[in-house]
Amino acid sequence: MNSRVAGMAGVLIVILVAGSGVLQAGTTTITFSQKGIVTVSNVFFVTGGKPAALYTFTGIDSTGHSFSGQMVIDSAVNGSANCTFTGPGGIPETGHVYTLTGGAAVTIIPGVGRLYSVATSGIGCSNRTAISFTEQETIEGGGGSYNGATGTRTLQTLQLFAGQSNEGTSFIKVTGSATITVP
Amino acid sequence: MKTRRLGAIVAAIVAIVFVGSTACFAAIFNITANAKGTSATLGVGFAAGTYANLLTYTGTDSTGHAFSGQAVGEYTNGVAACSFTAFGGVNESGTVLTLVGGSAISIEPGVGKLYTQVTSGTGCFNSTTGDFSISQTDTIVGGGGTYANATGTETDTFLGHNVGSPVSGSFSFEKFSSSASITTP
Repeated sequence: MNSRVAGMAGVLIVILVAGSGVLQAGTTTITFSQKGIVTVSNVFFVTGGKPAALYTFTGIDSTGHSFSGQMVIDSAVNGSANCTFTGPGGIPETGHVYTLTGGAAVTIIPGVGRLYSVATSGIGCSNRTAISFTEQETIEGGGGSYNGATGTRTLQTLQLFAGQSNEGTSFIKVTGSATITVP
Repeated sequence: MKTRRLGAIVAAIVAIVFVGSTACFAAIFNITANAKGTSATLGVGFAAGTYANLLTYTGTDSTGHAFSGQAVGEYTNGVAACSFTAFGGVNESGTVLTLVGGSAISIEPGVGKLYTQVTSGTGCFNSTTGDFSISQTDTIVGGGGTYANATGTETDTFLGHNVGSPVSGSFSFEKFSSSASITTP
């Protein structure tokens, strides 16, 4: 779940000098996709709760820039509410509702900069084979061209558990969009 | 919080290194490097009941070679006051960090890989922001390719910026610079 960079002006005031890594002040909207692996971290967002999942990913955004990074995300089952989602391979699946308990991400775009974001809300559906999750994040600064950046991100994730439960290693693919304002 | 690097530039040479191949003769490499990465606390500890951070990084060295790697590092947080210059040149205050343990593997495509163990280190940690600064010394304990059976020492300086505010553990962006003297047999 995470990140990105650069151009494709929406209502743009921004000019991205592709390949140079230079972003000028303004707001831009970007879409991106990424894939990675997930393992269990020792980062806790809730005292006494479960440790957050650690995602290590690489991807590409709508400006053609490649990026890599990591994020930690934690969610907890929301009562016994049932739900449905489209699992890996397009197969309909049923599960229980999960809601966000905390998360954060760092994305590094070589030659451009880095972006910090913190999860603010999220809801998904999971069973013992996979989880589908939609999450909102706020952008809280960065480095390089993204120094002092603000904005929001929305991510749609699909995670396939490789182990026997949702606490083991798994694969994840993410699509998302970000609206970023650079001072 | 922790390490890495590779590359070439022969200093007081004992031989010739064929950069880009894995063939080499005895040599001494004096190298500097810069890298960036992200880290998170994992269930790996160098002392009972404690946990190290896993740092995943990429960078370039003074020979122009790119490298990537992973490192685990663990520090204890004391009570003595300290200060450091954080990201953006901001002055932050905190309390002293002392090394518990650490190690790293760096991989330089087409050249080789290098193993290091951290032998000493100190730093400063701001418990309010989660930001930190660390300086440490490593021993080179072998490698592969050009760096097979390598020995030597390395020094690293890290700067970390915490993202979010987990109630336990840490998740951060890190950048570091390194200087290494590597001897191959």
